[in-house]
Amino acid sequence: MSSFNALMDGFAGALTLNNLLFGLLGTILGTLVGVLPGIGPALAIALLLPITYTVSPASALIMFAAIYYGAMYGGSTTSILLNTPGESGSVITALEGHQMAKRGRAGAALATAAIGSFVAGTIATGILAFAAPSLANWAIMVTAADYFALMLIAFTTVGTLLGNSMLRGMASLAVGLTIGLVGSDLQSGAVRLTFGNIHAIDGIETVTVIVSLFALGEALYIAGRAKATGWSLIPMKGKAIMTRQDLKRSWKPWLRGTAIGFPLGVIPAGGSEVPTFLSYAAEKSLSKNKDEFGKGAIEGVAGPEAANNANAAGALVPLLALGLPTSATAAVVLVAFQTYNIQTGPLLFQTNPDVVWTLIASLFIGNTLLLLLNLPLVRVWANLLKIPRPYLFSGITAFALMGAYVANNATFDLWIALGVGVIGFAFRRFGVPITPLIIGLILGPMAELQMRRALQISGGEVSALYATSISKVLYLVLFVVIIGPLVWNFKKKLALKK
Amino acid sequence: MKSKKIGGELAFAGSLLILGALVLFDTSRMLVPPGSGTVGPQIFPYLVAGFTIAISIGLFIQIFRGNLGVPEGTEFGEVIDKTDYKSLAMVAGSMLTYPILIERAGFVIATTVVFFGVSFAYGAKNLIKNLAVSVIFSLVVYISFTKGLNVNLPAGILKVLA
Repeated sequence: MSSFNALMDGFAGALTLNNLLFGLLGTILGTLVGVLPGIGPALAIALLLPITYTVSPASALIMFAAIYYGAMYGGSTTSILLNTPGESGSVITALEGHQMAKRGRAGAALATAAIGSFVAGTIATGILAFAAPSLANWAIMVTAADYFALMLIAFTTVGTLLGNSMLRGMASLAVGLTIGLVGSDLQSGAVRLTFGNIHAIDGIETVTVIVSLFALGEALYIAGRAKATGWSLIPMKGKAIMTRQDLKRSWKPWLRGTAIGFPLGVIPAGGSEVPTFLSYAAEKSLSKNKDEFGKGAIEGVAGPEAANNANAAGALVPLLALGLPTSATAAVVLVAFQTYNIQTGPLLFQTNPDVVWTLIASLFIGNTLLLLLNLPLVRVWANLLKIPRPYLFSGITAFALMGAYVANNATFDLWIALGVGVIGFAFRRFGVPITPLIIGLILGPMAELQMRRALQISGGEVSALYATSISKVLYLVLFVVIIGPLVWNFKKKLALKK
Repeated sequence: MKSKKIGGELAFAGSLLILGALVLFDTSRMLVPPGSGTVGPQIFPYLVAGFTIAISIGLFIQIFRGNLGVPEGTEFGEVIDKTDYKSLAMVAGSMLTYPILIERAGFVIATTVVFFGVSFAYGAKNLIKNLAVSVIFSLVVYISFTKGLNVNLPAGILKVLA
């Protein structure tokens, strides 16, 4: 019952006229940027993050929550009308939703995506509100050594589950860990990898790295390695509404999608790719009209969209309770919290309960605002897709560079941004996934802290790292995560030989 | 043609190796403040360097066994096999002007230059229209951020006009 009361207090803190206006602004900006082709939720949030710094903490949180949901919803609009999945979680929506749009059912596809996202987001935030405090209560007993093991698992799953090659995922992680080393060590004050540059002592801005990797890397890659082919933009006619029949076919996939997406967000399963594919597969096998799949089945949009949103909310559970991000988007959210001076982790619910509950209430409010705003405004968003490609890329580039500069008002950050842009280009060119770099950059310093804490307590005795029962279980999981895919690939190769 | 492909891959794996070696070198000559305890600031960088070098060696083996990376697909058209160096250089060059111009010439000029350059590289061939869009974009962003959000952006040489 105490969670419920605390949540009500959170609503009381969040629901002022002023905050609602910031929420509205966040929804508009989030959708606006999320809708732009080539901008996925992680980049959209990272680009808009500096705007939230100028407002008060409670307003910043609600604005941030609105941007978060807005960016995700904006991405699905692009997928449906333009067949350009901004991120891996929208691939299915692009597949099935774009087919619906081609058959003149864009309105229904957008509506089921919006309402499905709302339903999934609301249910998932509800579960989050109750699950995160319990997990945090349990996590207080978790020792530094256990944390270190947990982070190794996060590194490994994110590194191996994404992309085609485990080794390339690990290469990405290695670069992220290295960038995370730059600057003065918080515990001893020793200066690392700065090469005499005073600007580097404070470390490298995480947001700058994320924005440059996505935005500048993409702008360079497409200029150098892609041939311009026409977009098949489907004009948005009519309203985003569903018929009674559509609703009847959608509500079960929404709920099933939520059930699949949420738990897979809680465990570090490498983002929203797996849950959306699973949800799609589930809907396809349960559907009575299987032949419609691939040609625009509404279930194929409703389920995966709900799974995508529930997955994003699920990722907030380990983020709030343990301080562990499990996807690129969650990593950006963690950076946002750090800039608001919120230390996520088990103690958060004890030290800053008001902030957490305001945040969770904000998520509910942001989600609702989004539904109210997007269904009527969908044609305005659709018009944004008509921005000519050259201006789209120059705009993204200009905003990314501006964001890098204003972080510290220093050209040093711009040179870093350009260097990271080159890394982003090289990664795309050589099939190296980007998310492990971001996870390594953010989790690396935390992993170091936990490792040193554990070793300091034991006086340098390495066995302390696997002394507790929790850590033993975690290392067993880690072993399975590393060996599992190898065995799987080996079996596949054997099967192919036969 | 195939050997050329491997060349890029090898350069990538080689850069990773150099990165690892650089971390190793920097860590070895790190000034460790006294009183850092048994578990000082060098252990983790050594681990990261070792990991990076191990992965780069793994990559070399993978490449020599003919297991090359799959270039990432994009939403903006087909991926081509040969790099379009002209467009790439134009985009990269435009980006390079930004850190040089931002404090000397100011935000509006720097943004106009980068916007114009990237649009041109991406095929905006109508120069006058492109220039107009670039200037308007820069001015709108400048005014809305400095006046609307109180974000401090360098005015540069246009300060006299304002």
